[in-house]
Amino acid sequence: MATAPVIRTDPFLLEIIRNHLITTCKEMGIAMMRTSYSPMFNEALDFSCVVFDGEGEMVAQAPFVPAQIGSTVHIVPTAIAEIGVENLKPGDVIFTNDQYRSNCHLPEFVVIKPYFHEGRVLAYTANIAHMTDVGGMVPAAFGDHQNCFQEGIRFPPVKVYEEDREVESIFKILISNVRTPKHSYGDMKAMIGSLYLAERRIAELVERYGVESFVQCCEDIKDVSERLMRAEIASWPDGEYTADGLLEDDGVVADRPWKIQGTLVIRGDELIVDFTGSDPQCFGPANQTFGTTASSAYNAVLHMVRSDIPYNHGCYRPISVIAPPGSFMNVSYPAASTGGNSDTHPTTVDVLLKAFSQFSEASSAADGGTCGCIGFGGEAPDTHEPYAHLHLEGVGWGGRNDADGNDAQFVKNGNCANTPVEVAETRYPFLNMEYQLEPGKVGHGRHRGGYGTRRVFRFLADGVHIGSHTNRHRVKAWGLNDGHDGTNTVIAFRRKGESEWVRAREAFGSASYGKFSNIVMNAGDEMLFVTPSGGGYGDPLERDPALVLLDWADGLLPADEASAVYGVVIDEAASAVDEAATQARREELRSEGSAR
Amino acid sequence: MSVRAGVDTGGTFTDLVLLDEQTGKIRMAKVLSTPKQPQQAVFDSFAKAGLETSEISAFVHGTTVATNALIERRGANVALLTTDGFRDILRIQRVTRPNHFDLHWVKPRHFVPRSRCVGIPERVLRDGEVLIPLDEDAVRAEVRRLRDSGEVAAIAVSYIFSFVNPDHELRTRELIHEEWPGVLVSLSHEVLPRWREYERTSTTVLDAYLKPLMHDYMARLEAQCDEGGIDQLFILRSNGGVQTPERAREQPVSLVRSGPSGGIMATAALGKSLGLGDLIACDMGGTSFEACLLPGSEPAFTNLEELEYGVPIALTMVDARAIGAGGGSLAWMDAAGILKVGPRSAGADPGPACYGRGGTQATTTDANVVLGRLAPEFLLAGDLKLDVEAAGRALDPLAEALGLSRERVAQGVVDVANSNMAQALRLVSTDRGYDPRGSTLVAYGGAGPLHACELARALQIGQVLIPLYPGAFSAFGALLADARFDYTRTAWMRMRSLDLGRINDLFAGMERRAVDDFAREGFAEAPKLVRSVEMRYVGQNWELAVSMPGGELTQADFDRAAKLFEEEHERFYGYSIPGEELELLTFNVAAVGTRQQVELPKLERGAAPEPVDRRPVIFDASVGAVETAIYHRDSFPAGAEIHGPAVVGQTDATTLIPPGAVARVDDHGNLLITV
Amino acid sequence: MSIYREVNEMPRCGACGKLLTVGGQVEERLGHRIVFCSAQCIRVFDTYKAPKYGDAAVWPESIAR
Repeated sequence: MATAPVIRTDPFLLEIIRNHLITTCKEMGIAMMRTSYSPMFNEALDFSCVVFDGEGEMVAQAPFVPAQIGSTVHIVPTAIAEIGVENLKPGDVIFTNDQYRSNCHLPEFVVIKPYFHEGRVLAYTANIAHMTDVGGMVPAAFGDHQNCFQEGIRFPPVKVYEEDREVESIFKILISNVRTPKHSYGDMKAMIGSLYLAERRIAELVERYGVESFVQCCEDIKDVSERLMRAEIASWPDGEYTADGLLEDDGVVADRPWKIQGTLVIRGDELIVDFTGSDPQCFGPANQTFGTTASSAYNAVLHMVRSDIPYNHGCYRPISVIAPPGSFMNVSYPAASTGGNSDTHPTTVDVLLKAFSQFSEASSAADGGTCGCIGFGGEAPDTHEPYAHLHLEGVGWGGRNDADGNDAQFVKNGNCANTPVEVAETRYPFLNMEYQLEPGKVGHGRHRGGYGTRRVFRFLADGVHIGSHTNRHRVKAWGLNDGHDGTNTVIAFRRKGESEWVRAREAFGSASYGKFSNIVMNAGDEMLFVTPSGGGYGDPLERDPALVLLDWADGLLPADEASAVYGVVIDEAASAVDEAATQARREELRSEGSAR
Repeated sequence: MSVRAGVDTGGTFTDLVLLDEQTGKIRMAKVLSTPKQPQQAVFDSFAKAGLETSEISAFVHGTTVATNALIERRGANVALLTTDGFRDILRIQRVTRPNHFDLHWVKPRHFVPRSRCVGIPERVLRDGEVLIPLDEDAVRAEVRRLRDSGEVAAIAVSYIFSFVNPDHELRTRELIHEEWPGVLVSLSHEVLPRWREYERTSTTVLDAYLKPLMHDYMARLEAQCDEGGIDQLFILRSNGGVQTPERAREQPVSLVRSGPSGGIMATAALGKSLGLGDLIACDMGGTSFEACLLPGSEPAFTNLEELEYGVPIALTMVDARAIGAGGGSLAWMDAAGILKVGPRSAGADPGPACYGRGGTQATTTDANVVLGRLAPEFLLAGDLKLDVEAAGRALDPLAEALGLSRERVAQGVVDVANSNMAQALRLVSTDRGYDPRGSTLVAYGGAGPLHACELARALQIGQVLIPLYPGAFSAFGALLADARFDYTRTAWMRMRSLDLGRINDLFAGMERRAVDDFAREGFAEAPKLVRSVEMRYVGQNWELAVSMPGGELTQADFDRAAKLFEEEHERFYGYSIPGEELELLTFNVAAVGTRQQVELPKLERGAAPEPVDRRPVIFDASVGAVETAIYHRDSFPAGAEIHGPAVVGQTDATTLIPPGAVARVDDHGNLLITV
Repeated sequence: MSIYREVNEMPRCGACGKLLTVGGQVEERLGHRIVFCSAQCIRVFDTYKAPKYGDAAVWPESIAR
């Protein structure tokens, strides 16, 4: 057990500086939202702004995307070390998107700016953002890639600004290799702009409180969080807890699921998360990078601890990760990994939550397990400019010991927003004919899972190229403690004038229902996208009948299903629960259950 | 005799400020609010001031009735008609969550259950073209069903792209009224004619939710004003302008920030009359702290507000940032041993421990009492007795846990509260790219003047202004507010291919409407018209508003606007992209009817009075108490200079002047403090 | 950097599996020279990985070249 760190900073000053740094991250986010070009940033908010101290350790983050934040713990120091602190000058900005260097996947662009004070680096401001198009074989990066060359352009750590000036060659190479050069340029400028903004805020702090105070405070910020994390871990029973789960396929080999195995090793106030026993790396893009795997472990653990711990490097110190190289949990060059960050990460988190459930009530059933990444690309019919758009979608979350899973919520590895229909339709040649919940489909339980959504796109132009990396077409979100499993994802297509929906495998011969590249839709064709519901928590027969009635009244649960699954008999004319009939029905179902 | 009355109805108190239009004399009165019949307190306040209602020429009202109805969810049952296929828009929301690692967060339910959200077959496209015509039979059938259910009191209508082509929403309202005359209806393109369907629908639903309640309130208020012979009644909106009660009940969601906007408008007026330039308003009451930036003494506005996480009210309103930090905020310690203050509050009951009404947990006010920073002899004219020992006892558990003295902990509580408030001040100033350091901090509300100098120092602000009646400043603001109507039209255009004819038509049309509306609403003079255009780089998604001159616009005007945009972009976000093409989206006209200026009475000039007392006050616990002069503010003549350390008491607030700060009394009795 | 190396030529930490572009600490364990990224990882190897997995604890990607 590590000795308790000594906090030197005046607690009042500590609170002040920590708040200031978190506010700085939020301000970076607002600037990014207001100035960026892609809806991925200004509507979906798929980026994360963080501040690192001069030691290369994170001191502040804000409620952005967990997957990105967790990987910055590794990619930021890795990139700085590779360039070399001694080679950095004021006004330099480092850029990389290398997935093998602890980034979570290739579309995440990472920019890092050292903040110099009298010749010394006191902090780094960083922004990791999901760039919509990165070149490669499919618009907007999601599909059934088999290697990193198909995924897109990859930059090892390089300087993209030198002493406040753009390094032209980097920008030229970048914009020559993506489908939407103007957007990529504007988005890079917005990302880098946020670093400058953050640097001004940090300079204010240093000016006001002095260098030594600032440096000491950064240490103490981390130590306080470390102390809180260790206390949480120490409250868990020592031991090894193993769970596993499947990712349904890799997009390349049909019907071959891939196993994730995670073991929580709790030793006093330390935690090892060991992924030994997971499958070898797959042939498609569902592999996790080291950055994704570390991030998914942090993500699961942070979901299990109290939610008021200030999130920074101190939270990560007590956690060690074991990710065997060349496995599904730690991809080796040149295998692909774009979808590992979007769809494997949430399943990995749910596997670990399943392991946590072996000793904790506070865990939850699995969630929808996909970011719903569907890319659209082509040429705009009016301007003839190329476009690329990445569509993201909410899913149902898993039921919990204290509440139902939330409906239509972005999956645990991200915290992105949906893009408004009116924004997407203004920019891109397709309509949304429906965007609503999918009634009747949910993981039942004492606390049921959340509902997924149903969307129908209608295309207005020919030649819309579609790629997808989505999950839960076959493997459902699992229930917990007798809760039922959730329901599946559906992606299907309908040519103009036809009435039947046909899935990608049948219609286009893809290996997978949810992972495919460059399916071409034309004007008048339609696509259906139903997102999965979450798994249920606890026995449905223990569900509060009033909650069953509410779902029925809301048109989400048919009365016959209320009776069959929950044993709740609803008097439809009176819009009320028939208490006596319910009691009888539940007894009947319980005896049937125990007879089986 | 003619008197102008400003009334601010808060959660606890209703404040009245009266201006005698002949003599310029100001009077104030404070009564307890009457939440069940809010207009009662208004008339109580007139009575308390000894005023006959027939003496009132104009009465301007700021109210938190709408705000509180939303917070407490006491509005009407609403049904939502939306485009078929989008029935669950309120439940889906934007799919994000406030804490990225909280497994136990429960997504808030919006104000209409799924069973009362109805999809209507119809569809308009981005250019206004109709893809699916409105199914009128479906509307009629649904309205009849809702009417017969007896469960609904108002209907919100929000269709996709209605802000581009409102025909279907307008026709829907006609159909609703044919089937159900008299039911209250809110249309999304009228409430918020802007893109982003969820934000527009959410705002429209909240509007409908407030409509029956505000309709009744306005009707009762108007009736009572008529009866009392009050000529003119105006209601203060969230954007700081006033409007007639008819407009207020047509769009009650525009009143959600009616309360705080009074103080902010008063700050603006005061700043302008004193030529102070950039201001930051801070209003600290019993439970909350509101901050607002006023660059060049003009209030900042926002349209990104949320009632709670995921429930946006996307209307333009004063950009006040509220946090749970007031005199009654509770001090506590978290598991890491870090001292926290707020957001929970002791409220009015039991209130701070020092009020002696049974409170035992330490509050910010208790900490101030222990430090000797209050002048209780003047508060509420001496009616409020403070129990210093009770305040100290309340701090003891924290002192013990932290191993510090009472005084040191009291100092810590004040420091942490100040730090929280400083963060709120930072968010309103830095969000918009402004450095607060050149600004004047204007502090009001019951507790604002007590913390103002320390907040100013935390933000390196050099000057603080404490208005004459800080405790009733919001009511005073209601008295000063201008009439303001906003007009907005959306029209997509690129800077390199402007349709000048169309733009000039758009502006002319909005301005004609503004002039007509002002005449119709009974304003004697034509409004001042302020134009702006919202633009962005082609490809961006959020706009910056650039102001435009009046009259016939030419290409040269837009060349200037483009340059202005680059400068603003550089200033807000640290960079610009010279040569990048701009697109224009939204054309705005704000019509402002300036009220007759309020000439505040001038004080006699004179030297600083002798303090009424001297006693030890702690400004810095590590130094200990210092002998401090206690003054009564009513005794200050114009031109007096007070050197800190000093405590200045008055009936509605206490002003703390720390060592090193110097306060000067201006001609109208305001305190200008150099910190 | 004199010669650019692709990532497949770089070692992975013997405990966590992270790619090490520069630096790293080489330790003799179970008859191999293994690269580690930190003292914490060496401790995890010694107190958990090696006792639990024996020779299988050594990944070929982590052996110093």
